[in-house]
Amino acid sequence: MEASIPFSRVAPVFQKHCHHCHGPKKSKGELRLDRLNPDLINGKDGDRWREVLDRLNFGDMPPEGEPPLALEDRELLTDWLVQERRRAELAKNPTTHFRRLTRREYELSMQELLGLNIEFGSRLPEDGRSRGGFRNNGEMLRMSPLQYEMYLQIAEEALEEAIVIGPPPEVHRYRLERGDKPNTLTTTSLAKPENRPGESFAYATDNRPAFRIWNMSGEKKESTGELPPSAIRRFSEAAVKLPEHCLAIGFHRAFRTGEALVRVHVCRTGTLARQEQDVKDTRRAGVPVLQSAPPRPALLTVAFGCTNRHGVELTPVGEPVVIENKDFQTYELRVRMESMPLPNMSPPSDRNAAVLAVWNSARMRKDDPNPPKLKVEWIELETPFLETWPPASHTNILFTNHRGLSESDYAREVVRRFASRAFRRPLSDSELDRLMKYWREARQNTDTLESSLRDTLSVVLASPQFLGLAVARSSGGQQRLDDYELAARLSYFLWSSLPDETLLKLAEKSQLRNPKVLAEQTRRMIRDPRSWEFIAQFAEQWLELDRLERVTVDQRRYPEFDEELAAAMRLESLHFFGEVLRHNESIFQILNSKFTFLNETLADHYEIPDVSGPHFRRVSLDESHHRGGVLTHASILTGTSDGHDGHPTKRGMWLLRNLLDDLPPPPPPNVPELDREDPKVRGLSITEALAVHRENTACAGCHRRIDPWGLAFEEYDAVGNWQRDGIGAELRRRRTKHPVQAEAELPSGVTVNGMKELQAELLRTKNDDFRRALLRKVMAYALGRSLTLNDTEVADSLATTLQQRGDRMGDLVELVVTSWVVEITKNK
Amino acid sequence: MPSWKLNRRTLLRGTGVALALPWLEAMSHAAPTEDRPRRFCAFFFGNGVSLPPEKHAAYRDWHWFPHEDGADYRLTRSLEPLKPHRKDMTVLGGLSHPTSRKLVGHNTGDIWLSGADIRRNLDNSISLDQLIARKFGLHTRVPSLVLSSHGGVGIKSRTTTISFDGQGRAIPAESNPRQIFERLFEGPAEEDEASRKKVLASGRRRVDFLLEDARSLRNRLGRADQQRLDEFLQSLSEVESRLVRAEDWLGRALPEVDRSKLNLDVSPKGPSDYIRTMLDLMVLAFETDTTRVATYQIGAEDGVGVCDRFPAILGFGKGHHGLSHGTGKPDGYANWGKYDRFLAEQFSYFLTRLASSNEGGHRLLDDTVALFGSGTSTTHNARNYPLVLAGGKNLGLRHGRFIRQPDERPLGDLYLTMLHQLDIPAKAFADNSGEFSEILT
Repeated sequence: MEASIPFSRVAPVFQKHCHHCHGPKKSKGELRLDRLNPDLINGKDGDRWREVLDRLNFGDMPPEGEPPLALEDRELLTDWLVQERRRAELAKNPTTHFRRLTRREYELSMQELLGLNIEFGSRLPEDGRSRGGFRNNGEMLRMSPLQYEMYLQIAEEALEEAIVIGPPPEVHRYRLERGDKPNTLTTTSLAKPENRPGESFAYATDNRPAFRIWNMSGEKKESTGELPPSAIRRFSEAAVKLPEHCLAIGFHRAFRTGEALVRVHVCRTGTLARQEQDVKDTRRAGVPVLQSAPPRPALLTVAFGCTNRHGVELTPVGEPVVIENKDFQTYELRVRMESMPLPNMSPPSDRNAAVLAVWNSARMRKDDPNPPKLKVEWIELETPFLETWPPASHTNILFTNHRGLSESDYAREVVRRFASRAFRRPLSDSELDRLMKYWREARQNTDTLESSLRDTLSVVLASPQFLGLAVARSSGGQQRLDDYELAARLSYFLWSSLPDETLLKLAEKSQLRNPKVLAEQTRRMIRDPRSWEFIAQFAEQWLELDRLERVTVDQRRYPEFDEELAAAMRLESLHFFGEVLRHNESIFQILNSKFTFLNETLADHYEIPDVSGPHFRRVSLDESHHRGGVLTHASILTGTSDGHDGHPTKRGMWLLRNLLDDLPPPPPPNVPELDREDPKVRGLSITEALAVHRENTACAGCHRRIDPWGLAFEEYDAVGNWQRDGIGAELRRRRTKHPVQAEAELPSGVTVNGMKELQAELLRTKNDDFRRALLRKVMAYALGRSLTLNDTEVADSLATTLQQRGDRMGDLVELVVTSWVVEITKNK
Repeated sequence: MPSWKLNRRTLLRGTGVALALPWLEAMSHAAPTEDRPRRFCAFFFGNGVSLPPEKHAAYRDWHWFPHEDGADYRLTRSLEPLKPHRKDMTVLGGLSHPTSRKLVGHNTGDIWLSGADIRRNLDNSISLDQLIARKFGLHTRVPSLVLSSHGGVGIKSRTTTISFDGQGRAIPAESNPRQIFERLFEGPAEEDEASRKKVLASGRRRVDFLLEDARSLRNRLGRADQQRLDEFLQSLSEVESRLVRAEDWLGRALPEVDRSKLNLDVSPKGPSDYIRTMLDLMVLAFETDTTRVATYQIGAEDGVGVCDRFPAILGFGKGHHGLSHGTGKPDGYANWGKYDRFLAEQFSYFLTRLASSNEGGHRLLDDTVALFGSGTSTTHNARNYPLVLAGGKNLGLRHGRFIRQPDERPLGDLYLTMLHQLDIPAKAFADNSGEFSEILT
């Protein structure tokens, strides 16, 4: 945002151009501008001012025949109005503290509390996004009877899973081996290991198994059992087909809940000796690049699912396992069956059965004469997988009663421990008494202590004190943070989950409020892997990475674009932001950097050699790559396209709104978007098309301030290909005769041509705006609310210190956290 | 035609005051201050309908959609049985759920009432009837009736139910008329009732505790936060009132109905009698206000289930799926059309029953929204669903036309408008793009 414009600067312009008709002499349209209160925060004329802004934006005031308003004057007026409306809006935002946990926060908190890795949130409706883009904004986190019923139900089912009653269930253990011939399968019962609980389910008698297991792989006759790279095949139908090459088993009996263990004995085959081979990279137009091809690993993917009438539904278990070894090794994967697609609750049939599939998900390359292959010797399945009985989730809650407490003392202690973790603070005696009263009634109604505790703890898990984050009023009636509330705010900010023991201890000793301790804890939490939650949520929402999912990419123009590539695009931006944060690098790396994060899929897309395998790693960039900073990330470039071409207006808006916190006024109602496929603009170059669009909609004023920013992105197409040379240029030649036009006159009058110059210009003139924007964004996410005027001032006030400390991302987070010190209660 | 008399004695023993009231209102289980009950029901059949091309000999008679739109449309022989209800119904063309248009239409039984996007996997979402039952179900002993000729849930992508709960899980459909009758009108076994009571009581206890919990938290918050927490409190109160109502029904007397008027000795092997009995049960459940929401999957998609055999048993040559693929044969379209006509007869029978059922001087039909149709036009084409919307005159529905869309339009538009006319607040349904005001008076 520009420096603030005082009313004294705009008043004379209004007087000169408007008061003639809307003033003391005449009041056309019953509007007297001289009488409107210029204080939009306390005054009551906000709506009328909005009308004035719309008229100015439409360009229909002053009307024809009156002296026209000079462009600078019109912009001065609209800028002032936009600025004051924004301030008024901020002033309206209430200082709220209570908010419901997001779906993700709820899920992680439940997992942590219960020690069960179940996707508890998957049944809940998705949380909405605030205008600022964040899903943890309390305004959007609504509650409904339906949702409350779901919390009650999930709590009940979760506790049935966590706390067990009675002896362990029968366990299915068997090994599956490919027979000597294709499409044959042998199944062997496995005995129960000595040290493990549970009886083995006698699934097989001498004659036949207790339920049907069959091979679904569909191998070719000449198959040797080696699996070349393969992928799930989608067809224009619900669900999918199995990968062409896979080992897949259908079975008629599977547990719907609990953990399953899959062990795969596997090795990589195919010659490894490709590393010395020089491959001429012919894809980069005209420039032969010599690269040495690294050995490609095979990728073991295990998936569970179910059959249906057409094919299967499959969900892979975790990330693929990289298999480099030529000797057989055993890999173990654990999976919660609740997270997998399961057959319908009706009698099993081959089209309503469970599926286990194993395949090699290494990237398929058409030009690879010797792809990495996977050889599977056997697969073992154990379900449910029980390490101990009762399971750890049980004993974590129902600890061993070493001290020989009476039943009610024991129950009290169980409830106290559990509830204080769930509520993120110690319980008062009266609170605990109430819960115990509940427990005693529950105990009278049931046979077992366990089920009475399930009942009682389910109340804890459905309590607003668990489902919501609050700041209680202190005795003085003000809402100030106490030590525990501070710990919770911090942990939900960086981990999206419960505070850990260290934080709670520091809160207990009232030490967390010490700014030095607070800063130190913030750094510790960023280093902790759990800070991925902040990285993933914040960066995703701030950079609007979900736009990627909403764009329908033109498959004819960009045949290489698929789900896998889209997923890689998104991850680049997350890993990149994570690196800047965790290595405490300069925030300006976000605008331009000499590195990024790539995996094989995305590196192929960017035409950057020597990156193999699915994992993301830091890759150095040079000029020839035309990449660096989020503006060049395919995630952003694709998300701000219309699926056919880049879209300068979308890109300009994205840049202004997210990186500069500059909010151009919304377009007047009923204005169509710029559609580059529109016959009217189809044959035109992008600059001509934009000119037509502006002309059509009489919105030149705003578009002059949006479009140029986006025009500088024109070097990248709708999926982020660089289109000045290489593949991108080739693709462009197929669809247009126009050369790339990326020259733009920015509102300041400076002309930039292309991304490099745009980045330089941003760093030169917009660094203050970017710093302030980022501070505000992080603050809004950290507080989980729309920033109030005061919050905004607090965030803005951190800019100077941040700059002095070298503008580092980790420091920025730390400054945001330590700014809360003033909110802490005086007395403990 | 059977008529269902409530046993007045049973009721009057208890209240002693209801004599002066019109009979059904007195018998109604609804709270007395309530408006007349609104009702919703939906009937689904798979495999689409006979739509011969224009040059085909069967085009004139056996094309399910009328040849002209607007008020002056003429019903072809396929829909002719619905003629008596012209003023109470609208034929709709050009509607479909957008995300499924490119899928093989055999999936549409799964999403006909939910509009879920199942292109990636078969995760479903709440169906229209269940959304309505969330509200209407509070007022009746049975929240909703879910029926199908085959029963159960079937397999994903070929479900044998058209109702899905709040989490998108298939709700098992009932298919045995005798069991349905017993459940609705003869009450649960005592031990079932006792365990149901226990579950409800423990739910109540839980919610009571949470309400108190929320109130005490509320006292510790600032004003702006209190407003947020109020949503928790309101939600909990509603959950509580649902439980209270459910408990209320447990002790109440069941409406007494005359079993002999109902032919319960039917099976899907005799489709005409079977379907009529299923429809009779629905009418009866509505008349006695046992439920206000019902779905019936008359036939599943593809060749699934006993219901696929219906046309063969009736003498139209093949199974339903087979008919839908047999249009190249002589009389292929005509045979398919004859089965379409049979289905229309059944729906017509149902409408006649509702139209002749009187509730406090009002036709039951006029307070009931009934949707009849399929999820594909021809066999595999999941566009231009053949649909008839009937009833609901008192709810602001305007009938008497064939409304055809110039371009394919989201069915969610119609569903949203139906929800609003049923007084269910909703901002959107599935991927609707707006509302369907043409159907309103």
